[in-house]
Parts: sequence; C-alpha cells; structure tokens
Amino acid sequence: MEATVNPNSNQLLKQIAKELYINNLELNKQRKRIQEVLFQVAEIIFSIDQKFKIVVFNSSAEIAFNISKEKAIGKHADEIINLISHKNAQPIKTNDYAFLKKDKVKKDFGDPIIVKKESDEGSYYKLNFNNITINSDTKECVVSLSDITDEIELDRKKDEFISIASHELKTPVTIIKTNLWMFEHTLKSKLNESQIRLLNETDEGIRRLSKIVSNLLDISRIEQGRLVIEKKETDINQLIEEVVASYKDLVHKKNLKLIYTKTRIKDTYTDRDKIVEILDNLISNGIKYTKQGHIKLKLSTSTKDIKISVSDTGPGIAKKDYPRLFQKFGRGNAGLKQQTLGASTGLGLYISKRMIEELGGKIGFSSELGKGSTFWFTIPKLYTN
Amino acid sequence: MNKKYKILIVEDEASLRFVYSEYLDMEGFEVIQAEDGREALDLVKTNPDIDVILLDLMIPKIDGIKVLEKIRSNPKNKSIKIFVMTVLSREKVIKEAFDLGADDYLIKDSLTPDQIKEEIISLLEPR
Repeated sequence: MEATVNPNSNQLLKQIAKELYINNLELNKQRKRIQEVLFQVAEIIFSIDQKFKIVVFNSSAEIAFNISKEKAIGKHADEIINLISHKNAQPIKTNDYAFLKKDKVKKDFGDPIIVKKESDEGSYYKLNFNNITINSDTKECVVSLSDITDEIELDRKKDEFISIASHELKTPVTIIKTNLWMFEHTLKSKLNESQIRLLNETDEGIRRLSKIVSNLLDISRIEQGRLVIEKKETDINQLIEEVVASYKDLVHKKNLKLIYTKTRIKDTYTDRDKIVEILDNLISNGIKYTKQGHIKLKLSTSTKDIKISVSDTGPGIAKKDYPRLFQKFGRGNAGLKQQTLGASTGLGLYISKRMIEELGGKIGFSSELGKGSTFWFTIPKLYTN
Repeated sequence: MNKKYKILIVEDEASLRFVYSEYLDMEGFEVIQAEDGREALDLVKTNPDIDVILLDLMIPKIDGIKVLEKIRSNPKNKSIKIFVMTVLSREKVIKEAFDLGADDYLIKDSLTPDQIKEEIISLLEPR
C-alpha cells in the first residue's frame, strides 16, 4: 500500500520547523546575552549544585580564584573558593551558607556577610547568595561576591577619626567640668539665683557634651573590635544602689521618683564598668522621657541569669519605632531634632546592646503607649572564674 | 583626717593641676606639684615624706607608666600610695599600672575634686 502525504500537512510541518528554528535562534541570542552579562560583570559570580559542585563560574571568579572556568566547573566549591568570615575570622565553607535560610547565616556571620579571601587579606567582599530551583529536582545556589574594600577602608578611617577626635576632646571637657565644679564649690554661697541657674545650666551642658564624647569613644571601640571586657567579682546589688544614688539630684530636679528595692543576691562575675554604663543609659533614658511618675528598678534571678529591668511611666514607644530602637542612631531623623532639644546621641541603646552581648547576656523591652516602657537586660550568673 | 598628708600632684595640664592643688590645699593637704615625669621623680627623691601621689599617665618627658615603675623600683618608696589618673576608663594601661604597683586609679573625667579627695582618704584611712 502506498503512503499518501497530505500536501497540507507537509506545509504545516515546514512552517513549524521554520518557527522552531527562529525561536531557537532567538533563545540562543538571549542565552549568549545573559552569559556575556554574567561573565563580564565586575562581581564574582559562581553557582553550585546540591553536591556543592561548581556549575557556573564567571570571568571575575576566574581572576579572583586564579583558575579557568573549564577547570573549576565540576569541582567541589571548597577546593577552589577559600573564604574567611570578617566577623569571627573563621573559614566560611560552602555548607555554612549554601541552601540554608538567610537569617540563620546572617546571625552567624553578620549582616551583610563580609568575607576575605584566604589568599588575599587586603580585600573585602560582601557575600550574597540565592537558593534557586531550576526544576523539581534541581536546586542551585548562586553566590556573588562584591568588592567592598574601599567602603571598609573608609569606615575604618571614620572610626579612627572619631577615636582621635574624642580622645582630644576628653581633656578640655575635663578641664571645663573640673573648673566649673571649683567655681560652684567656692562661690555658690555668694551667687544670686540667676547666676546659680546659669552655673547649673552650664554644668548640665558640659555633662551632656561629656556623655556624647564617651558614647563616640565607645562606638569607635566597638566598631574596631577594641572593646575590652574585664570581669571581676561584682556585688550587683551594691552597684545598682550606687548608680541610683548618683541620680538623686537629677530625679529631684525633675520631680520624679527613682525606686529600687534591694534584692539580695550573691556576687557575680562580670564587667562592673559595662554594667554601670548600661544602667546609666537605661535610667537616663527613663528620666529623659518621663514627665511625671517614677522610674523603677528591679533585680530578679533565674537558674542561669540575673535580670535587671528599668521601668518608667513615660509616653511609651510607638510600634513603628520598635525595629530601629537598638540600631546606631536609632532615633533616625526625629532623633536629630530631639537631640538639639536636649536629648543624647541616640547611641546609648546600641552601645548597651553591643556591650551586653559581649557579656553573654540579652537586652530587650516591652512598652505600652501612654503607660510606659520597661527595658531589661540579663547577665549570666557566674560565681567562679 | 587628723594628720596633714603630703601629696604630690603630677599633671601636665596647668588648669587641672591648679584646681586639684587649690582644692586639696583647702582641704588641709600639703601639696607639691610636678608638670612632667622628670620633675616628679626629682620631687620624690627630695621629699621622702610624701604620703600619696596623683600621677597622670600621659605626661611629657618621662611618661606616667615609666615614672610609676621607677618609683616602685626603689624600696624606700614602698609606703607611698600611688593613684594613676587618666581621662579614659578601661584602658589596658590601667591594668599595666596595677601590675607595676599602682594602688588605685582615678578617671578624671568622671570624678569631681571632692570625690577624688574621698578616694584618697579612703585609701589612706581604711575603715
């Protein structure tokens, strides 16, 4: 039997073949374009499969890791890519981040994740990764490394400047403070009311200036990783009482109450100066924002921790401000305006958080608009070295 | 404070040296002053009856740490109480000073002269 070909279907096949050919050309063109972009960008880009084998390796990666893509593809990523975390100076291997949840990785290695190459300590890179699904059983992790050496260097210079400037500021601030105290001490009985007021306001001004300089110094220490922790046996109870006593005048002036009921606990092993500074930050915040009522300190313990909380009857904190409360300059633009009206630098909570983390504790808060806020922190109970 | 204590104030900032001296003199101390490390060491040599020294650590000619080391290296000075002073707290240098025999440290920025006096008295006359 002879096969019959329908002339119409023949025509159709030709048409389909032609369209396929054109589509294919277009696809190829697009693929080439994407490949060119991927391969020519300044960023180091590579991609790995679920067995951590390299499947994509761009030109910048070839240069950075000194290996051609032909040689790199198919190898285990850790054979070629040797990175060190800037945060903890430990090697960061592919399985430390690839195919994992971003939040977890950022918690361990910082946000942004900053790395150095093992072979080149001078350059810094920001590491970004994306877990992508190619199809139902193929997943890949695309990793990019952007060179941020210049930004890091600029940041370092900024910290260095702050450090030098605040060191230099400390001496004149101390001179003004001490001289002013001497004036007050020797002349107070001879001054009239408005002169005493002037003296008090100057005193308050210099106290604030001094606090700002201290905050800036703390920040530069923290950012440069130079925060020194010196733990020793500390009577927390006595320490709180001392700090509370130092606020007697200020609290009296503002017609507020600062309440602390003694709670007996054993001495613990911690950094006394840091605890004083954190308490100072929390209490002075409480006093600053509270128009009437009280600031109350409470000490409690659990099996592992000592918890200190500072509650006020201030205005409370709006929900929208929660996320940036513990950030550097956390009060944002509104903060700057308040600053000129007599608040502090917006650095206190950030500094407190960083310090308490160094001491192995936690810091947090709860707040209700119109009722007040409670800031608390914990330190581990440590009785021996 | 019944006894009149002799105190050496070593401080290069003239203004601070003046205020500390004035105040402690008013409070009944016998005050002598030095503005640099060399002068401090000379005064320690010629004044064997010094009870206490306020020693700023950042001073010209011979720095405070060296001065402390020199004073403590002579057993004759064993009974002198030495406070080191800085404008900054928590510096490594404070630890170094303790290791070299400082009795205590004072953060100038956070203490008023009367508080400094209290610190001195509580070291000289422990309860």
